[in-house]
Amino acid sequence: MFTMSRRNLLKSAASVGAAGVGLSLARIAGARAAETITVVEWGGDYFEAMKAMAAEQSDINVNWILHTGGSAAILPKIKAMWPHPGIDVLTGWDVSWQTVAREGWAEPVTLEKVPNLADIPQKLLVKDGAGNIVNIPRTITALSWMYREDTTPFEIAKLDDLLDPRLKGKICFPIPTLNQNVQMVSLALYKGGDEKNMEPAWEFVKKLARSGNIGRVANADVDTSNSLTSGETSVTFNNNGTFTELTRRNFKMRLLNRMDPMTTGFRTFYLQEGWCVLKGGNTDASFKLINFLISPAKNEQYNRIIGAMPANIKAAVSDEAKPFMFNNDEMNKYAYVPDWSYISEQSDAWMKRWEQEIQPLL
Amino acid sequence: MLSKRHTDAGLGVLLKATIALTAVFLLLPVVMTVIMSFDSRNYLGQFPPPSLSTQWFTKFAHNGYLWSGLRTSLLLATATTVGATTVGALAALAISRMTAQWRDPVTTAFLSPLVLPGVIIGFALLMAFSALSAVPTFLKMLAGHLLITVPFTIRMTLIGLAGISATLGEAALSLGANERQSFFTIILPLAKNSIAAGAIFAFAFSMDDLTISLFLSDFNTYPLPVALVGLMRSNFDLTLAAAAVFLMGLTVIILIVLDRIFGLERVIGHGIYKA
Amino acid sequence: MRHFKSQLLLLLPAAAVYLFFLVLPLWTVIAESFRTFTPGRIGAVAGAPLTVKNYTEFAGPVYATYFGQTYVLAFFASVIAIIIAFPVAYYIAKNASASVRKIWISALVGLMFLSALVRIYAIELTFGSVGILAPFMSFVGVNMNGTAYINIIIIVGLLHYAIPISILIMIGAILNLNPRLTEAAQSLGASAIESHLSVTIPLCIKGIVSAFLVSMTFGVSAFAIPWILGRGRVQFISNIIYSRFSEVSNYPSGAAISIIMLVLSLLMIFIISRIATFFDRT
Repeated sequence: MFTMSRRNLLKSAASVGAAGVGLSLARIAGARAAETITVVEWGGDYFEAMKAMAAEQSDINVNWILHTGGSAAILPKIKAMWPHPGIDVLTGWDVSWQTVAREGWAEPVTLEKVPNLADIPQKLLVKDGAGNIVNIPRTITALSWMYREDTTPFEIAKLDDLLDPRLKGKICFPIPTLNQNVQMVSLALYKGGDEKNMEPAWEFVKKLARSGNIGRVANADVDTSNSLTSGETSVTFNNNGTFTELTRRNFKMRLLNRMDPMTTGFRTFYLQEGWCVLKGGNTDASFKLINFLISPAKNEQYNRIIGAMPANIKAAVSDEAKPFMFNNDEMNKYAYVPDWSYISEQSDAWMKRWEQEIQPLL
Repeated sequence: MLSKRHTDAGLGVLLKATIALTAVFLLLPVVMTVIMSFDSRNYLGQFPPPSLSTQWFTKFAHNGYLWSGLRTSLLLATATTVGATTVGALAALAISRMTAQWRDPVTTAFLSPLVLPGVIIGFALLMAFSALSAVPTFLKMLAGHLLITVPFTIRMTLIGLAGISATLGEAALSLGANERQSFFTIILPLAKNSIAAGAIFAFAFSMDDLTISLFLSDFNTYPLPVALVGLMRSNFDLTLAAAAVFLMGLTVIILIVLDRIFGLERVIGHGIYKA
Repeated sequence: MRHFKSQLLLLLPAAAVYLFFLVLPLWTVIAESFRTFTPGRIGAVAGAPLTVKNYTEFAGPVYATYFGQTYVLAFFASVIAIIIAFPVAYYIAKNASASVRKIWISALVGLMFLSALVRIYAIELTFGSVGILAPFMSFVGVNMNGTAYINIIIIVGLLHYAIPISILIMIGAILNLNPRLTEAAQSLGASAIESHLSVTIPLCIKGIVSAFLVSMTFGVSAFAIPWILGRGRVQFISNIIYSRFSEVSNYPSGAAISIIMLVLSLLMIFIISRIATFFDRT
């Protein structure tokens, strides 16, 4: 997965017989010398797509690292190593950027450094306390409820159906640290609350946990796709990436969007994913690579591969992403934009509440 | 008399059944992994696989992420083994010469990390090292691994030293050998097997540690278990099974080599039998 | 005096390892556990006010359940491991031919060397809800979706480590036995089972306790086994500590629960070794 350059090969050859400690020191020092940057990326199609596209240019080598849990899981690692995080570019989304902005880790993004930023809608940009832009958006992602039709015994028409006894063990429910818990925000909205009044959602999830319908609690997106492909569970709340991935593997998936949220409860949440360049690393090379990847053609290609909507307004939307694409009217009707800044501060409280009130019922 | 024989016969059958079931239980997952590594599907599906392929081995062979992890793991385990064996053997030597009233509490104190969950050790080291960001990651992980392996090397060496009567060493001293000579010519050769057993365990534990490394590794320096978890948690596919089969092969080779050098039974016997 | 000095010198490296890599780090954990956490930040902010809230949060029946779950599952796994491992160890030590014994020991050591992750993953593929045994289980009518089944899979995961190590430890204890004692009991009219219960097992009690202790400490600290086999529904204390660190960045809370677990683990060792000494004397 790493770009195995000649330099790396030489180093491995030299390592034979070298003492462990000295070698490791040399390796770290060496990795900084050339135009190699370290990028944290999501796994699956995201990673394959990025790797292929980065390989189309030769100026910058990329050392790829993969996210291994919720996108927040990597932040403590960065904190522990700050001011030398050892990574140059972090992929993340609305919520990660809140933390990055609070900790002041981002190298300010400007139009001079990333000229293609001009084609990205202004409202997708997150700013830190000093008013500097933190992120470079690349994708609009939709999060919604979905299910696998061939393993679900009946057609799911509203959120209350999740309590149906026929769905025993069939629901894969994301843990509150995943998707920043917007799955529960959708439940709250349906039952008369919102992200600041989550009581109705907790009541609903308690019922759901008691019903025995939750077959698995997903700790990472990979749990969800494995659980659905293997037939362990059938219903879940996840992003369009998972939906596309499963559809491409010929699983009959049904997306629960474009349904009246007042009666069905199925809301779609939109968020933006993208990059952030961290301070102290090889920032120029990082911005250069990102500018290349965010150009209309590349952004279109990337989003076509992952089946999502491009952030660059000059890039066309692929057919696969069309089911998630709402016009203005639909946006107002079916989508909900939560207060990301507020919910990014709730992880700890929500997680504790999950441990205390939901987990014991599972 | 008859009933006693019946009980014994029944017991014999039960014993054989237990042994057979235990063997199956321990080996079944190993066999399963080997089969799964040849699965031709590109997702986690139901058993058995509809057709076979070697695609996962090809993918594994080209997976630089795992190879880089394996290299770090081997270097780390080697450094840990050398460090832990030296430190542990020296400490054991000192402990074995102590008077009984000191020996027990000191031994207990040195074995204490064995009861600490790895998560706590990892977390503690992370917090302590976060104040010293200049320490290279490799050394941080080495620190954690030393901590969990030194108790083993101390314990194993102590077991070996217990078999050597103090009079032997004293006899050598009285014959004019100095302390260092008596150590290298008398004590070390006799305790060799136990020290080797400790070293083997140190190597195995270091290679296998996940919890401590999970906290201390960084984005460029990570051992194999962390890489495997990374693969599992980000982009699950059966490359993992192929990697597992490779590791099994490696284990068999290590065992054969150890057996040739030390005689496996003798070493492990010295190490564990006298627990 | 020279003797004493050289002893200290020999102990010095090990003592330094323990001081710098154990005592000082644990001290920073204790210090962190009394800090106030600001939601949305990572770890306690420097100079955060002191509090005992991180500890009081864990008071109450809910977290007692987590601790209970961790210790009870580890306990069951250890007991089952001993019950299974003892006869197998006895067979290997006493009845098996030299070559069979060698095969067993090599295989057991091989299993110890086999990556824990690989093993857990294999167990998921064997005993998990889509594993090879799934059709059999649903045929027999086992509800593979129940929490009870998840608990059993976790015990299975723990056993896959605890059985081999227990066998290896107990082989030693049995080899050290004087076979004449068992024979003497049998010649006096005891059945094989009686002679084992009255003679072999009491004589091996040290080995048994040792195997139990190793299995128990392993089980209590288990992290990857419940992480992967627990389907997110069953968590051990280690998983909660990791989640505090990794997913929500609440270090002070993670530190507090670490300290609680540390105290409990030491207490457990103390009790078990007391019981062992008691048996040893009788």
